[in-house]
Amino acid sequence: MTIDDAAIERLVTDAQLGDAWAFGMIFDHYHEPIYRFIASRVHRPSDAEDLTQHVFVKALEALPRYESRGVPFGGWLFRLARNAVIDHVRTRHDHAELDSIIEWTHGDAGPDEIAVVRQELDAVNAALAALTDEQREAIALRFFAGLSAREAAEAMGKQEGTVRGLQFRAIAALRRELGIELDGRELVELRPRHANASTDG
Amino acid sequence: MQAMEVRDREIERRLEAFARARLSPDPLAVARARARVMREARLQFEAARVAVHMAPSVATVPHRSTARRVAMPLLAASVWLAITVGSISAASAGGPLFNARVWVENVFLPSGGVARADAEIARLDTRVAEAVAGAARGDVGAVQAALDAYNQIADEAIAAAAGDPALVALVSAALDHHRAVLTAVAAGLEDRGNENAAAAVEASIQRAIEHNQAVVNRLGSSGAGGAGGAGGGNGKPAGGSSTGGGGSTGGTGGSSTGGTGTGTGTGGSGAGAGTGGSGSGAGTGGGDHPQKTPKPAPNPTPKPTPDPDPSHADQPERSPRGQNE
Repeated sequence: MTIDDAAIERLVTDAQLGDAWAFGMIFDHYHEPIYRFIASRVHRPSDAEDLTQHVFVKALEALPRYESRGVPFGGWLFRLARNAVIDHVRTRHDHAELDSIIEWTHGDAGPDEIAVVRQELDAVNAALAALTDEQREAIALRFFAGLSAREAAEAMGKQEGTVRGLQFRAIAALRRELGIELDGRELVELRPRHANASTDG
Repeated sequence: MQAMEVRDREIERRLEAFARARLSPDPLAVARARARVMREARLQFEAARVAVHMAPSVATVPHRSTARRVAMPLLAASVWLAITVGSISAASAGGPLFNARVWVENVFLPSGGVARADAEIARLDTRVAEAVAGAARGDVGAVQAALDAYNQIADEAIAAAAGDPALVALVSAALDHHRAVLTAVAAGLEDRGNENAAAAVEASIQRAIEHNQAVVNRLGSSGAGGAGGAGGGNGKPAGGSSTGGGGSTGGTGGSSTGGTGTGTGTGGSGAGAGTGGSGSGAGTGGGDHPQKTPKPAPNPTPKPTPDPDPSHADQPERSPRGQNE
């Protein structure tokens, strides 16, 4: 997040008053997180693009009715995204095919490195597939979209503690699936806790 | 706890790598989506601005001046009143608005004096004309309604004229004339083909005549004797069923001609024994048709004044409207 919550609220207020520039800023801030969350759920990039655009159009229409009242805008926006995904999955019943997944991050890596990275990504993908739907959704909102626990709770329509529990169990399952075990060397690498998507909540 | 944090960071790193590699949008797709969304946003915001500017003008369109807002209901009320008054004024005897019409006439009568008596007589003329017209059509309901109203108006006319001999004479003369007309009409109904209708109309007229006679009698008893005697005795001897009393032998009243007679009527209601005296007793109880409803004779003996001869009904002193219909 490069814009704090207060700035987001000001942008939202300006957009409600008809400021197109403010809405453009909101789009720029939230587009990639929204896309990531949707792509993690529908897998097919073209569907993710269409749904992301649809979410912002819906947000535009619903913006006059948005009232903060302590509800973070991110949570409200991701709730729209979540509903759009649910509707999409319910009506289209199509799911990802691995061949349709696009990878962007190989750069100038050699074939061996590319193979290692792809193997690791496939392992993560398989580990995610082993999670329950709610755990996977919590992971997507917290790690892929970068929402706070409160925003994720708002998006999922659950209590914040419930989301934390889902996240905790999801991480434990991922550890098992990915073979990340606690050993003596990691215990030595003690570091001070710092705020980020996985530990701020 | 600290060790768990280390491992969480490893998971975080792998998930972030996964998202960056496989969940990142195509920059071109992002640009296209942004263009579309922003175009939509501009359209929507512009539409909202137009709506805000249009709203005041739309709100002012139906605004009308105070005078016009007041005038419109008044105009509507005037039209409604005109239609109502017109409908009531045009109500025919026996119609649903006839009673309302009579009521309206009563409301607008002069307060008293000769003007009121004239107005009452004019109303009586109108009712007689309506009765005659209804009889000509064979409309029993119209005749009945007109004559009922006639009786009511006659009573009111008496009450208004009471105490003033001149007014009493005026009303009495009018009632005599009406009775003559109605008598002629009743006589003419016998020749009608529709016996039932003719009989019903005749009965109504007969009741009106009797009421008329009673009114005249009351006038006579109120001290206007000379005038009250007018027309009396034109009734056929009532035989056994006269309203003057069961099996009376006299006429329906002591008939006299202008109070110039010398005797008092025999039998009858005795109303003729007013101050002015009454003429010679007229009917002496014929009893030729004891079961038949007594009806006035067109040419009774002695001949009353005014002449009830139907042939004279065409030239009344006060010609009711529609009499010749």
